Amino acid sequence: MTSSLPGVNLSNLASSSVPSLQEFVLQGSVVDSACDALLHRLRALCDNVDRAPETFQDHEMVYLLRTSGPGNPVVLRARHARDQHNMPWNYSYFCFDLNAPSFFRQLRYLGQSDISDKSRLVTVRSYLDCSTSEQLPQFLTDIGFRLDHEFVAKGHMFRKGKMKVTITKIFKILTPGNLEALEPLSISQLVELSIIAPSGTDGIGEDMRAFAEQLRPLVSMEKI
Amino acid sequence: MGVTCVCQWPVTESRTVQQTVEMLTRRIEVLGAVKTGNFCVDCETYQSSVPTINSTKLVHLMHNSEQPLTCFSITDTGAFLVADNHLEGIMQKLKGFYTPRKSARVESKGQRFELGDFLVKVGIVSIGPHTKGILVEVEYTPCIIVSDCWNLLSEFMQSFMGNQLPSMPTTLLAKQDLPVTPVDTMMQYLEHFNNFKKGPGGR
Amino acid sequence: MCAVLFGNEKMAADTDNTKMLMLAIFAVQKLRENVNKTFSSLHDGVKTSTEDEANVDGKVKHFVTQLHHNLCSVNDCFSDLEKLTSNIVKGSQGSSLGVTGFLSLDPVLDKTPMYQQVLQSYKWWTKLKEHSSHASSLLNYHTMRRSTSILGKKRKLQPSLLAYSLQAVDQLVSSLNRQFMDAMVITKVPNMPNVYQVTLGRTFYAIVGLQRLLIERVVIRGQHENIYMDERMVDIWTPSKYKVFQKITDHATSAMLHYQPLRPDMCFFSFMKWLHSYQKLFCSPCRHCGQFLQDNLPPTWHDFRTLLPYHEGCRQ
Repeated sequence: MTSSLPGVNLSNLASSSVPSLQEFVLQGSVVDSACDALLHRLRALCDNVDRAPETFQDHEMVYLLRTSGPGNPVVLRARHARDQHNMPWNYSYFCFDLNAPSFFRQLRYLGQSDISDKSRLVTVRSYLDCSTSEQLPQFLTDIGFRLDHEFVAKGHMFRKGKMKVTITKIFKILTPGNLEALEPLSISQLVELSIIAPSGTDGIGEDMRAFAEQLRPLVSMEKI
Repeated sequence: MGVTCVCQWPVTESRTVQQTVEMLTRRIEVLGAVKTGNFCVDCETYQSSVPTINSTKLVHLMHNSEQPLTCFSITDTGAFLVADNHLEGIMQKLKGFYTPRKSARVESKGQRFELGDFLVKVGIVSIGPHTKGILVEVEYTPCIIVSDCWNLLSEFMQSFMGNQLPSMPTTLLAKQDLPVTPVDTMMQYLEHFNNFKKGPGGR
Repeated sequence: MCAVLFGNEKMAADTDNTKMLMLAIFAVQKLRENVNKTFSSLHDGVKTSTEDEANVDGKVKHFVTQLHHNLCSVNDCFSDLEKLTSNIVKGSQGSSLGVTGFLSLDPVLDKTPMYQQVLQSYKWWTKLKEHSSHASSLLNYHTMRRSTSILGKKRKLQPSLLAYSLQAVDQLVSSLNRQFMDAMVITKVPNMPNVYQVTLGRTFYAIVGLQRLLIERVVIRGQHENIYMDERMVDIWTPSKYKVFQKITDHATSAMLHYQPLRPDMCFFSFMKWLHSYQKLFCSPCRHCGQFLQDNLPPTWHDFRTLLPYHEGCRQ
């Protein structure tokens, strides 16, 4: 490891300095046949016009931790990319198998959407994202979580400043554990606009609405 | 990140913890080691508070200044997860299910030395405000296979530990031919921390 | 006006085809103007009023001459245009873009990745140009010194070395791989010709740069150290951060010089055999003093002939 540890505040290692973040979301859907037109429009509207849109292929597992009594269960989402081959170096001791899927797992907490303020233009929910090692499913099971459902999401991602735009096709997994045998869930695709920002940031809803207007009439984006 | 051995250093009746640390520091510096700052390993324990999870479940969240942005999580059954520091935030979201144990924060804090490719850390262990003892961590950074370099590591430790040489930690015994990871070091610390918690009160 | 244009056009025809095109465009405009005028006068018709009935005949006459005049000028303009178009050289319409100029004619452009690819290659090309210009200025700066030193030393590839084709190198590598089984694996590095990665069990790996069979660069790093510089390129320059591997890199450099006088394939073979002897680097004590450590380093020196491990200070 490095010889000196500049900038490491020893007393601060365990401080709970996790910022409180919120996700601002608008969702819509588009039928497969209109998807190309939407992709074209998004390419024109979003950043990095000169590059082909980024694609992704994720496997998401949704875990629940229930109470015996009343009260909402806690939902955690474990995701991992199936198309990213850039392994972290410390896992690559003996072989460079560039076709192996990524070791990173993504653990995500999404709160209930905040419905206290009816005048909000977009859905707001608390959000926490954490990258973890590959033992995530075993770990969650060990601390009491149970797998609720899982799916594969394939699609395209665009960026427009802080905003993330995804067009996702959701697939059912026909036999658990086999990620090759997939079946589309429907004939349409999920369109999602989202921004992650510290809680209490203003003006985001307006920006997102303005952007969503530009996607009409291909998709109409709504609060969930 | 190389093969690491963490061992407890006994504090005899004739010396205080502080004096023992000074004695150890002198021995290490005589070998030519260079001080390269401080280090800290800490551990916070969460306990399940819901009866549905049969028997109480413990989840330890640990940090190591060597990997300052990483949070190691180890359960009492040995399942582990390496994550970024946002994991703490997620644990807080589970506050209906897991609550931090009061005054169960353990840490080992002290100085870090470098000697060639070796790293030596001498830490004073404390539980809450109480000092409990001393842990010495020795790491041989270029090698990641325990069975390859254990003899070499022993020879090095003997040079300043004398007859207090430790035997191979159980964590390493189990995986002599597999590459070590930072988690193995944290497992060793956790084992010692648990021993300190069970053992008689410090001085 | 037309005559003036025509005269100008004669002169311009010799000089520039684009000027010609401009003139043709003007001529088209002129033609449209005249046609417009003709039709609007036709549309207006003969203006008559009750007061000057006597004058109707004169007006009709005037209208007809006007129409005649207009048609004539339309005809003139048209023949001008025809002459101009016949003068325009056809072949030069493809611009400096060459064949890529036709890209704009592709109606399904958005469906093909052509645009991105062209853009990407343009970016690469400019980058390449920039780098090569830097390189050439740097090389120019050192011309004098380089040329004199080369002349002085007469450092040249041994002629025997050139006899080894790339296939021969590959064959040698695969036979070595068979011989060392799994203990040592020599693999070609992606995207870089003549660079090999030698993985020695779980002890370390070496990056070996070759010129045909002549070893030119060796760097040794720990198994858990970074091998890639970025996503594509293997890092053949950065030394290891561990003292023990820095030391072995030094020894490897001297080993490569030591074996050089041998026949090239023997040299390569002996060097790899020597490297192979490091397999038990951390678990074999020094042959001289029997200890593992000296100066906090394991026995990093392996004898070139016997391949036995010694500390640097213990070698005889």
